[in-house]
Amino acid sequence: MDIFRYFLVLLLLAFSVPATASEPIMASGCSISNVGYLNDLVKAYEKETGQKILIRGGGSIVGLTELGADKVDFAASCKSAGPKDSANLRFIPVAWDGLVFIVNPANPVSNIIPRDVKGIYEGKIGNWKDLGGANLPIKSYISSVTGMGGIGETLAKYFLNGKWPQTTVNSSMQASSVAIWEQLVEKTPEGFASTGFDSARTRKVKMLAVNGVAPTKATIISGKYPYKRYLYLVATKDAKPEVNKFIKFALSKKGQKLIASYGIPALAEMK
Amino acid sequence: MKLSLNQKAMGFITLIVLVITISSMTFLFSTYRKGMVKEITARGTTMAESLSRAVAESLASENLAMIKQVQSIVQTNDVVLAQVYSSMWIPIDSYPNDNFNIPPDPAALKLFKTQDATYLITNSNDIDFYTPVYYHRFEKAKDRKYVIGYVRLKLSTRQIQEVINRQIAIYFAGALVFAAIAIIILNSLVRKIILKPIIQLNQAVSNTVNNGSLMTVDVSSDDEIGELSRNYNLMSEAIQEREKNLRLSEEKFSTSFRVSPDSININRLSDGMYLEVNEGFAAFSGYMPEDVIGKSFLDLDIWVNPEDRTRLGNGLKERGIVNSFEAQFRRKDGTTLTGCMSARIFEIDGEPCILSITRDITERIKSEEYIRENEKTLQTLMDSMPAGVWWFDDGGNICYLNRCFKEQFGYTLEDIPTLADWFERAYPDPEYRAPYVAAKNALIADALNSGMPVPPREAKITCKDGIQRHLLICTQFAMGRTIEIFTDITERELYHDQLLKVEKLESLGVLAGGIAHDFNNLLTAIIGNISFARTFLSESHKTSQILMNAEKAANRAADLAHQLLTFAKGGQPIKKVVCVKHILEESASFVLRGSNVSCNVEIPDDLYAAEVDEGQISQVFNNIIINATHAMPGGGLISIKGKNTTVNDANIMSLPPGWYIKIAITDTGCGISTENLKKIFDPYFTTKSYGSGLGLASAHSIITKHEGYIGVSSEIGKGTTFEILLPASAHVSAYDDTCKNSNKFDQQEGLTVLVMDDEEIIRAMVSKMMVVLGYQVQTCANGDEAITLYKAAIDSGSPYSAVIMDLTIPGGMGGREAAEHILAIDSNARLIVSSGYSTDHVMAEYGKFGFCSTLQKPYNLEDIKMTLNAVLS
Repeated sequence: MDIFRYFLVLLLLAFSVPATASEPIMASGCSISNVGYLNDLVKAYEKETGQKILIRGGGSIVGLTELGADKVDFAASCKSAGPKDSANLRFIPVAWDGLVFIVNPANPVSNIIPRDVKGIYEGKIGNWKDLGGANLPIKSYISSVTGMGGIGETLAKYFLNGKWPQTTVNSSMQASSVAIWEQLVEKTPEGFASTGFDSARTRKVKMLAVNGVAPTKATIISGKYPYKRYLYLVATKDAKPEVNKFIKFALSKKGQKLIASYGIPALAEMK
Repeated sequence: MKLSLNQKAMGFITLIVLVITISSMTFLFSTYRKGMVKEITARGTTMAESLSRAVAESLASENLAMIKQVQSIVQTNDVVLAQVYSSMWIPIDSYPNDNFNIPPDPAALKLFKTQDATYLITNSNDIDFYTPVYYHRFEKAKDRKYVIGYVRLKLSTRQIQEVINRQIAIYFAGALVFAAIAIIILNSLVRKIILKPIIQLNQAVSNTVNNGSLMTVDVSSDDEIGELSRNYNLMSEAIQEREKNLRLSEEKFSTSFRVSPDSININRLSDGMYLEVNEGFAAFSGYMPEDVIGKSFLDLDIWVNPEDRTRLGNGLKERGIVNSFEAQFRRKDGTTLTGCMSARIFEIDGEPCILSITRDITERIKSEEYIRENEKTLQTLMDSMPAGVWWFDDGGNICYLNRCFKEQFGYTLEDIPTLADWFERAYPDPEYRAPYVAAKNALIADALNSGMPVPPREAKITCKDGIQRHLLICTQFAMGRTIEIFTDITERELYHDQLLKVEKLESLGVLAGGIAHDFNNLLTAIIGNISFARTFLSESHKTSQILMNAEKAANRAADLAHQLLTFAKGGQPIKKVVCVKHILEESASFVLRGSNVSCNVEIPDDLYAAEVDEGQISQVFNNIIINATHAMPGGGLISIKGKNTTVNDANIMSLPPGWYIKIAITDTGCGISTENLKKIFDPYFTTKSYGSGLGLASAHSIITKHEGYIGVSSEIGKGTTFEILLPASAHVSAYDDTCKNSNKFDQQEGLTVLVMDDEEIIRAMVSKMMVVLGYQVQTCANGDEAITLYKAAIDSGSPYSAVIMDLTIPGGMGGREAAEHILAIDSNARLIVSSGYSTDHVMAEYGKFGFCSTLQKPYNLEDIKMTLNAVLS
């Protein structure tokens, strides 16, 4: 009888080993997603399941490229699936975001209209005084054409008549990813960049109102601020079970509830 | 521009010192710069890789502040650019900030597509380092390490260049000072050590050239220049000596030219005009100098054959010199002579001329012709000699072989160009060659030392065809050559050996014959009495067998005595014409009966008959065939061949020339060794435990007494061949008759026979036998009695039917003399000579002495019966 109890204890112990024993999941990609929700969601998931997930930024294009090269297990992206993306990739919307324009908090400009946005990216507006600010040249941070993922896509869709922003414009300054742009804008008085609401809200930057509507969770959810877009988790069709489990977790009520709790629009919150 | 030696030396030294200085400086600063660049490269690599490792975490988390903080560690004076890139080569941060948009080098972008190691690009003013940034935050993720960005660090090399430039300026100034000092010192040294003596030498040479005076210069050192000065002084002395010698030489030449007995003349090449001739020319040509100077050879018509002059001209044009040119010349008086000319072209005042020296060789030509004739005669003489002749020089080179040598031994000069070649081929056995050559050399050395002639020596050489010849070699020395005469004594030696053998056998025969003769007399009585005694006994009588045994033993003793007598001196054969083929067949059949040896007889039907003692020849054949069977205990084949042949004067068998029959008996037995072959015909020599050693000795004696030849050749393991030559008979038909009648036999009874013998026991025995045979018998002890009794019998009208007479009666008249008397009384007397077999030629040639037949002692009843039947039939 004692032997039977001992065996039973061993059996229970074996099945109760946490998932921490498994390999960490690797992920990279959209800095907006990382800062906006993914870093926090991953911590909550690890705490619940013991599964370690390593998240790295670099931008949606970097994330999709590294996923394609099998360097990471899944990617975060603010760019939707395009014709050049592999058919093996699954783009799974996980949260909502809004395209916002940020400036240094010291910049007196607080509002911008779509025409001016287009003017900056086309090189027609190069000084803040044209927008009612100080007489300073605008430093507009962008990546390369190929390196701009979701931001380039959303700018082209809402402000540039389908054209992507070009690096040849005099005011443009190249930097690798949105997270870097945000940090550069934090330090640069004449800095300007397009980013996502979800990450910008965590930075010491000023989000410009567009046409007088300031970007907030509420204005985005309500549609008053119309420049919304999805944030995706991207995995291959034959992704590891651990990846699928995490995505499932992110889409679960609990996951969505957590996302909403971070201050960004969850899927179900959007009207 | 004319520069002095001093100026040239100065310029040269300056150039050399400057080249060395600049080369050294260049090398020094090149090495220095390489070291500096190497150092900065190592430093830059370390800094770039350190930055790469430090920035990895910040880059992964996209934390710009942290990136800037990390990047501050490389912000030193010589860092002109530090950049951090994303994995897509988009800049993230830059130091200084102004350089944010400086793009990476395309070569680095291309390189990092295939490799991830640190890469550097060296520019004129800086070195650009690129290093990848790897992402591996946790141990477990190390195997998934990958590049998440790049760092770029550009280090300026301007400071190095500035340092180097400063160093160059300092060192260059120092080097110039050093070079200037070096140039001054070197120039001073060169001027003192080298230039001064050279200038002195130059002045001396200039004096010589300009004034013709020779002077002596100071020798101030022991080096090459000092040596040059010394040599100049020596040269100066030598030139003075040479000038003196030249004057002397000119005098000598002039005198030689004038008084030379050879004709010397100088002609102009262009037209052959005589420019100068000496007294020898006058003697040679008969022309005095005044006759020829200013004239050409065409004017003189001095060349007998103009084509000779053409040949000379062509030779001179081709080679410039002609030597030993022989031609005929015509003297002034019209007579011709032969000259040997040497000529060469030389110039007199730029005019090509011919210097000719001509010697009158008319007498020499005659002498040479005479010598050639003599040599031809000598050659003919040598080739006519019946002995081989050669001569060789001091170097051992064979110079001549005469015809006899080549024919006898087969070798030519091509085969044996040297003595060493001769020794090797003529004496192929090294064990024979070495001592022979040593002995020969010793003989020659002794002769040369003592002045005595070299004693003749014998040698056995191997001819080219492999045959060995026995030579007698005589050596003579003449005019630096060694002449040797090779006399072939092979056949002479063979004859000598044969003669020795015959003499030896004859000596033994005398002894053996004497013994055998006495034995025969005793055995005659023994055998006769035994055979006679057996006639009184029936075959079944127990004594008969004993007597038969005794008779057999006595007969064997008689055979032994018979063989002894065969080769004894008195053993002359009793010849009659017989068919040798018949005897051979009978012998082979008799000996080989019951044997495992087969026989093949190949004798032509036309084989000559021979006049021989049938019994003896049969004995010869028997002995040889018996020996052959003994040599083949396991069986074999005996081949008997016969043929007719002739023998000429020059035969080594010492046979008189004539017709012969040749019998060869060959077995396939074990063969006879060379050692034993020499002794095979010696009496009592045998290799068999049961042999008497008399068989082949007897055979030799028999054949010799038949004036024939017996020889043997053998090869161990292959067999032996006996070769017999017997004189052919001219009375072939007589043989046939003899054969046909030989077996006729008629019994005669009632007849009276007289027996003469000095031995009483023989007389008694024969008397008894005669009675048994039906004859009446009377006996006597000597010839006188026999004559008396025969005469009395005739007178009484009852002559004896036959008389058996002992040939030798000690102390009385023997059978031969008594026969003469009896035949004088009765020429039809039937006389039979009896003896211990062939004590002398009377037994062999009994017919010549009036006898009708012979009765060989010892004899038995049957012998007496057959002999009497034959005589009386």
